[in-house]
Amino acid sequence: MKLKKNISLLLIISIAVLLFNSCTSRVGAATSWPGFSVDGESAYLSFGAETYAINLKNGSLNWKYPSEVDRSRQAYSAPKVIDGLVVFGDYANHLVAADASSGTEKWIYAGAEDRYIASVEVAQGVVYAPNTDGYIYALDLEGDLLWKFLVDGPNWTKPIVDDTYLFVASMDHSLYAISQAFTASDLELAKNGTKTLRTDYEWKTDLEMAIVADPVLEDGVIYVPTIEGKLFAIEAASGSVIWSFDNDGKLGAVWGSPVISNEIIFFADVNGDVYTVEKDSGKPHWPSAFNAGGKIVGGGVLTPDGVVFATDEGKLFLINSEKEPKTITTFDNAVYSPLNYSGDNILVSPASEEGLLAAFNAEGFETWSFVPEE
Amino acid sequence: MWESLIIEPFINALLFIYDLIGQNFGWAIILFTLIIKLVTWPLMSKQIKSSMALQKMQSDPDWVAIQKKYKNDKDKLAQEQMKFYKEKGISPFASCLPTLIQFPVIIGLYQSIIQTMGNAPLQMLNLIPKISPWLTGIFSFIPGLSDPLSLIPLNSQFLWMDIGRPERILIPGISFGIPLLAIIVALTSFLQTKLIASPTGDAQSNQMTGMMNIYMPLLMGWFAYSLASGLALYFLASNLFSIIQYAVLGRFNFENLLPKKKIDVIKKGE
Repeated sequence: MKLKKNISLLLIISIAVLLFNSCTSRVGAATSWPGFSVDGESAYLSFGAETYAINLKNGSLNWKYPSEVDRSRQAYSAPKVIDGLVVFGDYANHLVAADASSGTEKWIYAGAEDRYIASVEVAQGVVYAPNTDGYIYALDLEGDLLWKFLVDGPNWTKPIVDDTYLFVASMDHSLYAISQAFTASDLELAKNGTKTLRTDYEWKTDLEMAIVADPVLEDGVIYVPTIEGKLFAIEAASGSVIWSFDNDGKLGAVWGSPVISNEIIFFADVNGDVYTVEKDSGKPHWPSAFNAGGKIVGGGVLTPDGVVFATDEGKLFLINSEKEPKTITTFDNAVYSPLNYSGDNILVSPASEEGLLAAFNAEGFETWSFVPEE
Repeated sequence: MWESLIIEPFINALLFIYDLIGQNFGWAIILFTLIIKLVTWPLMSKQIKSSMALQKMQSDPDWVAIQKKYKNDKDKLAQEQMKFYKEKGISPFASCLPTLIQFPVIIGLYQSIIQTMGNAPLQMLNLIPKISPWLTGIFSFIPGLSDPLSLIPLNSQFLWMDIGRPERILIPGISFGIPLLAIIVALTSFLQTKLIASPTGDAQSNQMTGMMNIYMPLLMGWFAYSLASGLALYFLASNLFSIIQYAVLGRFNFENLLPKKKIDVIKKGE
C-alpha cells in the first residue's frame, strides 16, 4: 500500500515537472535568428549549434562546423571572413576562428564571461569582438588577446572602423570612439593582474536609449538608430550629433541597419514602416512612411533597382526612392535576419530550419535554397 | 489570452517596481512576490481555515460514525460526505484553490522574468511591444521615473547572481559551482511544510503529508537548480512570506520541528 502511494505521488510530481517544463521550455528554444555574411563565392551562416559555409552558385554545402554538434554552443552572429579565416562568437562565450575553405578549427578564445551576440569586425590585422559581458575584445589573427575595453552594458552591435578609430554602439546607450592605435601606457592593470585593460576613449556620446542595430559609417558620419525609435547622425571625428529623426515620436524601435543610396537613407522600424531621410539634413524624403504590413526587423539591402526589405510575415519587397513598392516573393516563415545581395541574387535567411538560406532574383524566382541535413 | 492576461501585466508590473526602487531586479521580484501574496491573502486564509476544518473533521464523532456505517458502500459514503461538508460549512476545494492559482502565477512569473531580462534578441524583440503605453503614461507622472524603454537592458545583477541565469557560487579550488540558492529554497520549502503541517488522527493522511514533506522540497530545489535564479528568488521569497503568513494567522506548529519522542508500547498484562 505504501509503495502504491509512493508511486502515485511520484507520478503526480513527474507530471507536474513535465507540465512545468513544457510551459517554460519555449524560452529555451532558438533565442535569435540566423546571422550570415557573404565573401567571394561563399556565404557563411550561423544558426543554433552549427555554422555553415554555403556555395553561392548553387546553395550546396561546402562545410559545416563543428563536426560533432554540441548543443550547449549556440551561435547566431554573422561570421566575418578575413585572410582565409572565418571568425564568429557563440553563446558559450567562445570566439571561434575556422579555416574558411575547410571549416577546420584554428583557434578558440575563451576569455569572455558571457555570450557573443554581435558580429566581429576586423581591421589592420585586429579582430574586434564585442561581448555581452560589456567588454570589447581585441585579438590578433592568432587568437591572442591584445587588449579589452569595458563599457557600461552588454554589446549587441557589430563595431565599425575607419582608418583610425573603432566605433562601438552599446546597450549602455552610448556610442564610443576608441583609437585603434595604442601604447602600453594605454593599458591598465586589471584586477586579475594582467595588463590588457584599456580605459581610454576618444569620445563617448550618450544617445539615451539602447542600441541594437549595427551602425553605418559613410563620409565621416555615423548613422545609428536606437530602440526608442530615433535615427542619429553623429560626426565621427568629434561625436557630436549632427541631426536626429524620430518622425515626431512616431518612429518605432529600429533593429536593422540603415541603407544609404544616392544621399538618401532607407530604414525601417518594427511597426513595418519604411522611412527615407536625406543624408545631410535628416529631413524626410517621402512625405510619409511606407507601411509594409508586417514587422521589419532585419536591415534592408541595396540592389540596382532599389532597397529590399523583408517582414515577419514572410514578405520580401523592393522599394525605390520614388516610394514605388514591388513584392518580390513571400515565405511561410518570418524573416528577421538582415538581407544580402550577391551576383544578382537577393539572399534571405528565413527563421526556419526547413530552409536556412535562399537566393532570389529580382523577379522573385528562387535560384537556389539551402536546407541543412537533419 | 495568456499573454494579455498574465504575461503583459506581470512584465509591466515588474518594470514599474524595478524603476521605482532604484533599478534592482532582484528586489523587484521580491516585492512583486509580496504583492502577489497580499493579493491572494484572503484566498490563503480561506485555504488554511478549510484545511483545519478538514483535519478536525477526521476526528469528529459524527463523521467517524458515518464512516463506520457506510464502510462497505463507497457511493453512499461519498454522498454522506458531501452532505456532511454542507452541514458543517466546509468547502473541500477552498483548500486547493490557492495552490491551483499559484501554478499559473509561477509559470507566468518565470516567463515574465525571462522576457523582461531580454537576454537574447528574440526575447528583447518580444518584450518591447509588451511595454504598455499606459505604463509610459504613469512613468511620466511620477517624478524620478525613467521612460520604461530607457530601462532596457535591465540590471540583472543581484547580490552574487545573474537573475536571468541559474545561480551558482564558484569557490576557488572546487571545479563545480555550488547551487546555494537552490539549497536554501529546498530548506525553506521543507521548513514551511513542516511548520504548517498538523498531524491528524488519520494514519493515511499523516503518511501522505510525510511524503509530501520530502518530495515537495526536493522538487522545489530541483526547479531552483535548473531554472533562472530570478524564479528561485521568487520561490525563496514566497516560502518566507508563507511562513510569516501562517505565523500571523496563528497556524504555526513549532513542535513539528522537534524530533518526536518514541513512546514504548506497554504490552497488555505487563
